[in-house]
Amino acid sequence: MAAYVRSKVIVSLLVLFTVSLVGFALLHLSGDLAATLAGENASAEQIAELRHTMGLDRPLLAQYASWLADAARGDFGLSFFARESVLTMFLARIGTTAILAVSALILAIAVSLPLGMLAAVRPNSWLDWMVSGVALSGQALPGFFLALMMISFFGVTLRWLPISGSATPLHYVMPVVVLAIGAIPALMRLTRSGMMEVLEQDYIRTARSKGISSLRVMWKHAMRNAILPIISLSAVQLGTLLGGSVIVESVFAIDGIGLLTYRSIQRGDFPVVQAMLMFVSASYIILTLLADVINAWLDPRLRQKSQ
Amino acid sequence: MTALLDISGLKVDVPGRAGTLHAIRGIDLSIGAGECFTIVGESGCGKSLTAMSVLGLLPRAAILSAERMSWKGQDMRRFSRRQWANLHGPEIAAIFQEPMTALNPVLTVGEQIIESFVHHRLGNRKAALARAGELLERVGVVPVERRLAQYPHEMSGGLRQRVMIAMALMCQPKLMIADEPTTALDVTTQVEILKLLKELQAEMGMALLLITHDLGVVAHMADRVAVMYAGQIVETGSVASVLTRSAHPYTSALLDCLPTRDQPLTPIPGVVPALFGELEGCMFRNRCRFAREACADPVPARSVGEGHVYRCLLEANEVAA
Ligand SMILES: Nc1ncnc2c1ncn2[C@@H]1O[C@H](COP(=O)(O)OP(=O)(O)OP(=O)(O)O)[C@@H](O)[C@H]1O
Ligand code: SF4
Ligand SMILES: [Mg+2]
Repeated sequence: MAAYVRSKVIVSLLVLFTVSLVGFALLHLSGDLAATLAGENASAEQIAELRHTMGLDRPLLAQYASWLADAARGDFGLSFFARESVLTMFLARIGTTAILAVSALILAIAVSLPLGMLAAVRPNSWLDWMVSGVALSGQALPGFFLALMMISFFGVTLRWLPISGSATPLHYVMPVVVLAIGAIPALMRLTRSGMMEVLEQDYIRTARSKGISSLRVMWKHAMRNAILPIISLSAVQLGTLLGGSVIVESVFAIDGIGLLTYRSIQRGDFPVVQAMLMFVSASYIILTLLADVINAWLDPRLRQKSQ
Repeated sequence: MTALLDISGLKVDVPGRAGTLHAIRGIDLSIGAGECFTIVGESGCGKSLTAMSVLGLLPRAAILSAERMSWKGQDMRRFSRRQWANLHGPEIAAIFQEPMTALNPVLTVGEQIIESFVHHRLGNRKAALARAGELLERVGVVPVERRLAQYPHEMSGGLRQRVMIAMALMCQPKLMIADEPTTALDVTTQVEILKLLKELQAEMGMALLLITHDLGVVAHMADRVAVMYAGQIVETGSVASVLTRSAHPYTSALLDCLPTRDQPLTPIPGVVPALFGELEGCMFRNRCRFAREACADPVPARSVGEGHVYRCLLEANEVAA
C-alpha cells in the first residue's frame, strides 16, 4: 500500500509539473502581458519599460524557472492589479469556497445515496420515477435560474434566508443547496445504476439466502461494492466545487475562488490565474489520489493489484 | 413420516416482452427429513427456478403459484419477510453453481461465514468464529485462522465452494439446497465436493436437495430423483427404481447418453420447445422416438408402484424393450 501511494505521488507530481509548465507557456503566449498591464493608453516605450522591469522580456524558460523556484517556496508573486500577494488573496477566499464545496458535496451525497439506492431496489416504481425526475430537472435547471428563484422565494418573499454575502452560517444555506443540486443528478444516477448492477450479482443472492436483514444486505453487501465508483465521482465533483462557481458566487455576492479566478482571467492577471490553475489541478490530483486510496482500502482486489 | 418440504402444483411464470414464459408447469415435490433428493435435467428445464421457489428467492419478475407449498406443515405461500428470514439459515440453506461469484468480493470469508449465525442469535461473535473454525476444519479449508481473514479472490474455486458449504452449515439447516454445486469445478474437485456433501449430510442428519444434470451423480448420491423436462417432472421415484426401470423415454435417453469408457457423452438430438403460450401434451414429443398422435393430447401420470411415477402414454416396460 505504501509503495502504491508513493508511486502515485510521484506520478502526481510529474503531472502537476507538466500542468504548470504548459499553463505558464500558454498564458505567456496567449497575449502581451505587459500591454495588458500598462493599460490602453500606454505608449510603446512605457510598455517596453514595464516589460523589462517585470522581467517579461527574458526567455520563457528562465521566467518559468524563477516562477517555479518562488512557487516551491510558497511565493506565487503579486497580483498585477490588486498589488497584493497572490497567496494572501487566495487564503482570504479559500475558506469560504471550501466550506461551500464540502457542505454541498456532503448534502449531495446525503440525498443521492439513499434515493439512488431506493430507486435501485424498486426499479420502475413511483419512487424510481421520482428519482429520475429529480435527476433530470436538476440537470436541466440552470444554476443561476435556480439561485434567482430561491432568492426571490426564500429571501425576498418569505424572508427566511439572507440573500447575499457569507457572514453567517445562514448565508451559506442557499448557495450550498444550489451547488448540491448541481452535483446530485450524476451522483444519484451512478448510485442507482451501480446498485442495480450489484443487486443482480450472485453474492447478493447468497446473502439473501442467509436470512440476514435486507438492510444489512443493502449496506454491507451491496453498498460496499457499489460505493467504489461513487467515491471516484465524488472526488472529481469536490475538485470542481473547490475551483469555485462563478454563477453561485456572483448571484449570492460571495467573494470566493470562482469569482477571483474569473476576474483574473478577464483582466489578464497572470500570476493569479497561474496560481489558481495550480490550485485546481493540485486539488484534482490530491482528491483522485485520495479516492484511489479509499477504494483500495475498501476493495481487497484493488489492494492486491496495487502491490 | 411427514415431509419437511411438501409442494404440489408448483407453477412459475415469467412475463416478458415475448409473452409469458411458463417456466415451471405444475410440479409436485416432497422431501423427507434426512433424505437426499436430486433433480436432474437439461439446461433450462427449470431446476434452478424450482430451487429458488423453495428458497423464496425467485427473480423479481417471476410469478409463483402452487396448490400446496409447505415447510413442516406451515404454508410457505403466506410467509412474511420475517418468516422467510427465520427459515433461511436454521431451516433451509443453499449453495450455488458458481463459487467464483457467490461470495462477496469485498468482505472477508470469516465475516461472511459468521453473519447468519450471529444474525439468528445462535451465539455471539466469538461463538460464531469458533463454530466457523470447526466447520472450516471439517470441510478442509485450513489453516482456519488464515482462511477466515482471507478474501474470496485469494482462494480457488474448490476452496470457495467448501467455504460456501461451511457457511450453509453454520445454523445447522434441516435442508440444504445445492444447485449444481460442482458444475463449475474441475473433475477431481467435483468428486471431492460431492463426497464431502454426502458425508456431511449423514453427519448432520440433514436433507439434501441436490440439483444436477448428471445422472452419474444421481446414482452415487441420491435416495430419490425427479427427472425434469421443459418445466415438468416427467419421471420420479427411488433412484434404484428410476435408473434401473426407467419408464419415460426421456429418462432412458438421458441414461443412454451417459458417457462410458469407450463412448463420450452423446447429447439427445433435437431442441427443447419454447415454453410460451398454451402448452398441451407431452413436451418431449418433438424429440421422442416413440412419439405418436395421442402424445399431443394431455398425458396423464402413471404409477409403476412404490412412488415411481412417470408421465407418458407408453406402458412402463415399452421403453426398455
Ligand atoms: N430471471 C429470469 N428472467 C427470465 N427468465 C428466466 C429467469 N431465470 C430463469 N429464466 C428462464 O426460466 C427457464 C428455467 O431456468 P432455470 O434457471 O431454472 O434452468 P436450469 O434448469 O437451472 O438450467 P441450468 O442447468 O442451465 O442451470 C429458462 O428458460 C430460463 O431462461
Ligand atoms: S408421451 Fe409420447 S412423446 Fe411423450 S415421451 Fe411418451 S411417447 Fe414420447
Ligand atoms: Mg440452474
